[in-house]
Amino acid sequence: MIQITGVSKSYKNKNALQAIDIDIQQGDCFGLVGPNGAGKSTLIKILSSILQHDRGNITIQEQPLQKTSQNMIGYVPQDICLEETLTAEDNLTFFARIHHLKGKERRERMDAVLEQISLTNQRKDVVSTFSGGMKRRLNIGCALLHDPDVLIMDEPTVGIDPQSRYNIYSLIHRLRRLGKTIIYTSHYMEEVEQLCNRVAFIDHGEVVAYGSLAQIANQHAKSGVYVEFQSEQFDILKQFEHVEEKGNGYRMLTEQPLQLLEKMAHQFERDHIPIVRLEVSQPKLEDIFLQLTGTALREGDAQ
Amino acid sequence: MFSMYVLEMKKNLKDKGLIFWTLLLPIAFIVVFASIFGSDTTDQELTLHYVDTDQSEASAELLQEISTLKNVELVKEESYANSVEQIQSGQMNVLFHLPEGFSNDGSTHLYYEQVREEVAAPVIAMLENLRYGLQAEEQYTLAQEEWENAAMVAEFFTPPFTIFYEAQDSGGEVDAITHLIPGYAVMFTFFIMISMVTSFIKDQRSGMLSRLAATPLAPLQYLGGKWIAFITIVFLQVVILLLFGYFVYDINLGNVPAITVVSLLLALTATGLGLGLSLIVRTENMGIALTQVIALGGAIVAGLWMPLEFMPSFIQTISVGLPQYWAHQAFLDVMSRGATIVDIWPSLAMLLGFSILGAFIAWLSYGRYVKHAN
Repeated sequence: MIQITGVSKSYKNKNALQAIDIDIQQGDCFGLVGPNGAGKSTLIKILSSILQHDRGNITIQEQPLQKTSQNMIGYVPQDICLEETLTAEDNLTFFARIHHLKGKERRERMDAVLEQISLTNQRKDVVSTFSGGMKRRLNIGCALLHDPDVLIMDEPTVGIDPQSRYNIYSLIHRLRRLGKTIIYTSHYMEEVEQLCNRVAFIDHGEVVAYGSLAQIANQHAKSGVYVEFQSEQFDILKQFEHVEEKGNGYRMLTEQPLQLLEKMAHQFERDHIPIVRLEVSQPKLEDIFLQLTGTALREGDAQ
Repeated sequence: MFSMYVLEMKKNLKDKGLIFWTLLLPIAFIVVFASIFGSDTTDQELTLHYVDTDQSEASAELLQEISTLKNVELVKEESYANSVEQIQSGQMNVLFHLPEGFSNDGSTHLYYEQVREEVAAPVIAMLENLRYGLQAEEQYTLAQEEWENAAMVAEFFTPPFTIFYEAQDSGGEVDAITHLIPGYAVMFTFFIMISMVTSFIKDQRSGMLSRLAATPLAPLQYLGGKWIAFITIVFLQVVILLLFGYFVYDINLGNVPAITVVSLLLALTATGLGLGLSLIVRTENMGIALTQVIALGGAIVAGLWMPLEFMPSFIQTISVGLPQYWAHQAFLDVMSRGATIVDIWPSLAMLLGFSILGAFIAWLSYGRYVKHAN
């Protein structure tokens, strides 16, 4: 569906993207994750034809990406880009007109989109009266009017309540069932785990991991054993390797979690050490993210 | 382009600030300044307070002469001391005193507050004029009595030159309000730049510009749609202000096609330069500050507030380089001198040139404007 081959982009002397190779299949919900300043937004803007790449090729359905491809792509920006003094209907009408939707077709698409984003009853309301979640949904709706094959969503759930987030997740699931391809960026790893079937980790303008969630977990994550004591008992863990703090307890990374679990259980029983939890810990996307990109604050965050 | 135009019009028509800047404020200015400058100044009366201590036939004669002057009102004061106190406290402007002995030596005193000399100036001019007039009259009578040669008397008292006042009818009506209304209309059209800067910077910062770049909307359609919306607003602004002048102050609009073309080209110029400014500035504050300089500075230098003839020659030279000057001249030509489109073509060409310049700057700056978009 979308093939990105050797795409590079630099700003002055800084490389924003370096030889990116990604293949996105039709119907994918493809997650683009990475720390701030990693190059995700640059890649998204290139895919949306907002920016031009310096080198490499991008094809959509085997056709080169160009201005005319914009009718195949719907772009949902991170910022809420709506005219707040106007109604939801005014905003949708504007974007429908830009995509050359007219008359009956425009009305039908607007009705369908309002239904999809659950704002049918608020269509005549001024956007400034909307909650953050309603604005986010309308922000998405504006990108759906021309019924694009590909929807690019840049952190669409920032700053909204769980109900609105759930509503957006449902919308994404519905769109996938309709065969739409979704490119999704988020800083919420559990969100990416829940929504995306394939992921690319980008850091310093390069793809550092890429594939299905299972492939990435196999390649980059170690299982472990998690233990939580009734009282502080860190000294007893010094005999184990790869111990790290995790939540209220500790996690030990290992290739053989069951053997380690058995060994620890015996030792705690023998030494009468009271524990709250002792279990095999499955790797999560956030762990892989931190493992691949490190825990140091990035420039933007540090500021 | 039409979709962009409709969106911008809807946005702006809901903007109360825009209505204030484009209509309410200029109308308030016109009403206030028309009430100040619009009244007939030839009917204004000079009030002259006087105290006649001399109480002679000569003093009565002089006061009689003064009372016959047009637009002079004599007010008799009983107490000389009280009147001087009133002048010192600013309660009286001028006091004319004819002291005892006036009939012998002709001495009079004019009292006025030193810090308000300009208030006394017209009274001083009037009294000086009267003094020279009476002196000439006295000399003429004396010469007639003493000189035998009447021709010599007539020749002696004939002034060195004579003025024949011949006002030319330029086909229209010229009064203070006919100058004032187009002046303020021109000045306030340039305040549209504030709304334009705000709109473009908001698009750039809010992510709307990036979002639009991801749609089939071409840059020309984006710029054109927004520009035409602002042209429409400014054109309506000028039309409403001129119609306000027509219906409330009965000003002469002159040739309708000509006044329409001037209004349209003024709208094109103010918004064209606004377009250029909006795409150059980095911040809204910078845009607002530059608009103040362009709108207010341009209004002063281009003679929208006071006739250019009252200004230094270098200001008059600079004014020719300003769009406000050409727009104002075109309006005055049409409204006061009955000019048609053909008569004012140089002004129209200059306005068109300024609007093209603004649009050209905008086109050159568009790439950088998009590059800095969020």
